[in-house]
Amino acid sequence: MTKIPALANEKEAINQLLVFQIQEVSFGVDARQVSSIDEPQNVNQDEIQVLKLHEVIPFKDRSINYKSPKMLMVNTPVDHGAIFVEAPDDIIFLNASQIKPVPTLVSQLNVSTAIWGVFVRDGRTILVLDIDSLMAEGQKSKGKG
Amino acid sequence: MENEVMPVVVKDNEGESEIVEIDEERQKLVIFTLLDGYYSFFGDDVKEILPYTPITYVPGMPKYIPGIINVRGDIEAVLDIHTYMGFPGVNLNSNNRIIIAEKNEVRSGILMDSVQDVVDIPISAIHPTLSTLDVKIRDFVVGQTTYKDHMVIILDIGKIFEKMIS
Repeated sequence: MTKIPALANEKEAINQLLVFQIQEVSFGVDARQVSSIDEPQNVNQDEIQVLKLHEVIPFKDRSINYKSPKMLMVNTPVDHGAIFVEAPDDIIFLNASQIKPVPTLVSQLNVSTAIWGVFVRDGRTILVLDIDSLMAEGQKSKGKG
Repeated sequence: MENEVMPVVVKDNEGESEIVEIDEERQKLVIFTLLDGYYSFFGDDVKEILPYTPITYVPGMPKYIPGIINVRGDIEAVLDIHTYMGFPGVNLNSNNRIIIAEKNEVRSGILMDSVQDVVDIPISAIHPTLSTLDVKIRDFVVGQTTYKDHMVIILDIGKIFEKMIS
């Protein structure tokens, strides 16, 4: 289990973005919402809600092969759960104002409301996810299934 | 739309010619190709014409939105108008352009084969469209004109955006 480091100085670094990649798409989540990163085999999936990102936000290639899967252990207002992702490859310190809102067509037409922002650094475009929305949508889609 | 004073030759009752000046409303059009056809948007709705820029894929979007681009720090969605109109997808090459269009507070990039020209034509050169128009695009068409002997279908980007998000 990897513990996420606490902010060195909250005033200087308002946000830490935990970045991971799935099918060459970079995603970022607010690291403060992630309590730890676990190996999937160490997580009891009967006890907590586990969602796979690609099942909530479908990719054009629906079969996703994870090279180094990890579980992001997250805390939502109602519950705690885990998100199954590719191993995070970066933690970026940034000011929240550097995150741009997604364009209107993306917010209106995406099947998920979890992609709320975009952060660009050194030519890398990172889609910023809201964990609360993601977990809520994951729960809803499981309910439907 | 702009008004411009145009010299026009008129004949009086006795057949005498006289040159008079009349106000003629004009319309700017951005003409582009889509497969083998010529199409245009109103110039007022087009904010910028960009060379092709790599598009970042966004999962969870309809197929006709291949992703987003970064335009000098602003993030814009990109609409693949081929796919949206039900035509085969764009073959990417150096002629591809992304135009940034905005109408009714919706703004987006639009990926197209190539941009041919930006022209300023008198309103009188815009005609109603033929009823035989392709059903895929009929809802978005507001008229037609000619450009270098080609028929140009004029599309209203506002109608396209409206249908997309309705």
